[in-house]
Amino acid sequence: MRTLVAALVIAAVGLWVFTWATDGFRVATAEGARRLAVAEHPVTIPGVTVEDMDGHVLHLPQTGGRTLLIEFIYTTCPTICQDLGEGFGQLLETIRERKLDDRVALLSISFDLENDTPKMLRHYAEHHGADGDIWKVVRPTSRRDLETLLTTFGVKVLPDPLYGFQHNVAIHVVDGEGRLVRIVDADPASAIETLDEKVSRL
Amino acid sequence: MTSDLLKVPLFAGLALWAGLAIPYVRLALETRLTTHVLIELLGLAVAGYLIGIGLRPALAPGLQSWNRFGLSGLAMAICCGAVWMLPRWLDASLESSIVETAKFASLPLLLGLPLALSWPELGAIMRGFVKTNFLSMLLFFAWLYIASPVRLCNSYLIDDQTMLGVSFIAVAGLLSLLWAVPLFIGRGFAVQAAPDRNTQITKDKNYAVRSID
Repeated sequence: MRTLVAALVIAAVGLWVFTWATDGFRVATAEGARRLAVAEHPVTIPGVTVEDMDGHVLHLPQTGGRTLLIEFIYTTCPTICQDLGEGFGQLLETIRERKLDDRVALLSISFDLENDTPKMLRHYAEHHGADGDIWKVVRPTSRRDLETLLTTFGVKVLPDPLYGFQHNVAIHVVDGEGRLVRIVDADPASAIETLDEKVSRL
Repeated sequence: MTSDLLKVPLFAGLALWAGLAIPYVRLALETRLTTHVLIELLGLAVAGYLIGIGLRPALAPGLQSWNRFGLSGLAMAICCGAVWMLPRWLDASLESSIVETAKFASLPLLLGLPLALSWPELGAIMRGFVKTNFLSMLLFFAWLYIASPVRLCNSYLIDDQTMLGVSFIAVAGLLSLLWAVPLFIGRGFAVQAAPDRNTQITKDKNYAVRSID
């Protein structure tokens, strides 16, 4: 009898802890937790300065009322960042087709301050068709601003002996008021879906 | 009471626990996912298990009515293990000292220790159930870590994740060998189950034979 009571109490407490630890059976990974946290509690982006591929300085999160779709990249990345570029290229097409250019903008932010000079940013931009207007390719102007961005967005960049870096791959949606409101998968299909959901409806 | 303790496993467990907590060792193990899981996490659980063996003579009698068939301890160990199987909390333990402390306290005290106190109480079927479930869980995670195209831990490289998956298969293979081999040489154990009476009879026979002589 005592055993039954003890085992039931332990199981109940264990279930409660597990439910808490998975946010109600919704997340098992840090990436999932990051996305859920943002969806439930939007994060205001602190002011940082970035420079674009033409050397122009921009202040984030100045959005001009547009929704920003942000990706973190490094231009010398041989694999995933090039796919991300492709994806943003398709997204740019969609934005033009639907004439959403006054409502939404794309931003690729490099976290590789050492290698990604404006020249490299331009190279990446030209290769993937970033027009510098709807889609800008930028890098933070200081290491401090970079750290602020990575911490706020919850992006983790690890040096990789083979390829340079490994990092979270996702599209970060910042609304017109400069708040990070959603983090979604980076494939073009789910990005366009987000576009429908977040932008077309506005 | 102190005489009831098994000092060797107790001190071995405490030493292992302390050793894993040395900052240099801890940070070195945590640089790679494979060593983080297979040496640190497993080591902490083993440390608790050894401490549990050491404390068993002192604790088991008092706990017996609360832990029949080892049910309560097993439940505790499973609950604790379930939480530390979540990649999210491995990531979190690297960034938060509270989570890290919780990891170092809970794995020995809520997983290893209760398991050691409960294992002798578990019936043969329950032991088999626990072992086979552990193996299938290990292989499931192996498949997950090898096949996942995305990183499950944001703090570790994808190659490291694959390597952990492969290591899980190796561990599962070793454990199944370790657990299966006694089944095939099991007859020895069956005879040993009632050794006293058998030897007694043989002795008596010998004695009888001799006495006839």
